[in-house]
Amino acid sequence: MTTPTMTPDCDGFANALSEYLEGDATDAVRAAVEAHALACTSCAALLADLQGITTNASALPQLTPSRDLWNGIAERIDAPVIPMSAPSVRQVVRRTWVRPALAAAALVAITAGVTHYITRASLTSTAVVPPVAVVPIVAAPVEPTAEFTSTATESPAPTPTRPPSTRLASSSIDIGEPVLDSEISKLRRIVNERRSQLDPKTIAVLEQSMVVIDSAIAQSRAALVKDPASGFLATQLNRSLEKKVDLLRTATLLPASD
Amino acid sequence: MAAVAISEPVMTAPAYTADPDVALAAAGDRRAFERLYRVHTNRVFTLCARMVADRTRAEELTQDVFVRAWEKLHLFRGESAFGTWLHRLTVNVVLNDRKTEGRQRSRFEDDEDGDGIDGLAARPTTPGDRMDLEMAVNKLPKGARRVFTLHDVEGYKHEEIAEMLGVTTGATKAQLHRARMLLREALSK
Repeated sequence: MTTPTMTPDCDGFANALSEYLEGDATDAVRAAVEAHALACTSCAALLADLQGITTNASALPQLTPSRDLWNGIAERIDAPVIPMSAPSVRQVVRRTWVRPALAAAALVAITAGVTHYITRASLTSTAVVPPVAVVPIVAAPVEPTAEFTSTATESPAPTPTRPPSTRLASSSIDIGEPVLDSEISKLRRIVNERRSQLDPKTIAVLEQSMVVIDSAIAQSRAALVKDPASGFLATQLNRSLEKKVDLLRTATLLPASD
Repeated sequence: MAAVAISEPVMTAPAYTADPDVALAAAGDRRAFERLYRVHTNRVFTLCARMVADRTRAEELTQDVFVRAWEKLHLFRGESAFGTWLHRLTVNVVLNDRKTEGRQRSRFEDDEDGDGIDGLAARPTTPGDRMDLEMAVNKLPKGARRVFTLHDVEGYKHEEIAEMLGVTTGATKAQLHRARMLLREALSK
């Protein structure tokens, strides 16, 4: 707040000095300050000193650090960023899903083509089936696993007396499994990198689900060793692998816990 | 003094800058950013040193400022000169620096309540040796030193300083007058 007037003495001068120096003083106060400075040497010296300090302050030279500080800055800005940004995660997942998607599309196309070929062949009573695309069903029974024990007792395994039929060879395994395995290992690596960002409870649920899925995969693989031509087992294995990919993909996209 | 709540200086005007190194650095070019560092480091260091009156800490803060600038450069849209943006960022970094607060609390025990420039009595002097302005500024109490540095040395207006410090313009004017009077006293000894 500006003072409208100033008492014409040293105290009044001192009180008005700050406003005067800041340019906030009214014309009347400004005139009074300047008039008092002309009449009083000590107040004139004070005014000159303060004006000199202000002038000299604005002309102070630049200072220089005692050392080059760039190396310390460079180290800090070069440090790896720990949090995985959402776009990069999405990019990784998008990239990793291209190949399985292409494999799945190829599988569908092959299946459709072969089915069409077989259907047409049976309709024309042609018994010749290309050996590359199909294989005859084998007689080895499916060994029931823990998961399938109950259904195995209710519905007996196919017997050799069943009419001969044809079905797809294990193309789904040949095409899909290595691709899915590769995607699983990539996604697993991403999830491992993100472990520290995720809530421990989420990690626990994730691991528990993974154990169940891994168990199903192991059982399917063990059964396929004994019955390599089983389409059912191959399908089960692929489904389990796909579930694992889905779970891992979801985990890679989970938001970091605070 | 009231608690200071300072936000980053964010420029939201259309992207424009006269300095190509600013645009390059904002796009992640580290060499361009190093060139900006070379151009601006002394000015940043000078402001830090005068604000905190501690050259070692000022060097650490200068590094903090440039690291922060690297992180925030994408927010700079060229509304003002890069130097102005960086200067304001420097003030924010210094004012938010807790470490300096702690150190200075121990250096200036009677800081804001003190009547004079700290350390004058302990300073060895020889006959005819007058304290220069730089040294006298360093000896000012923290509040007075900050306002004096920002206003008389750096040319900020009281309104800007008040906003940065979270105080009224009346308070910054009072601190400035106090600082000038203390400096006169110190320089005339």
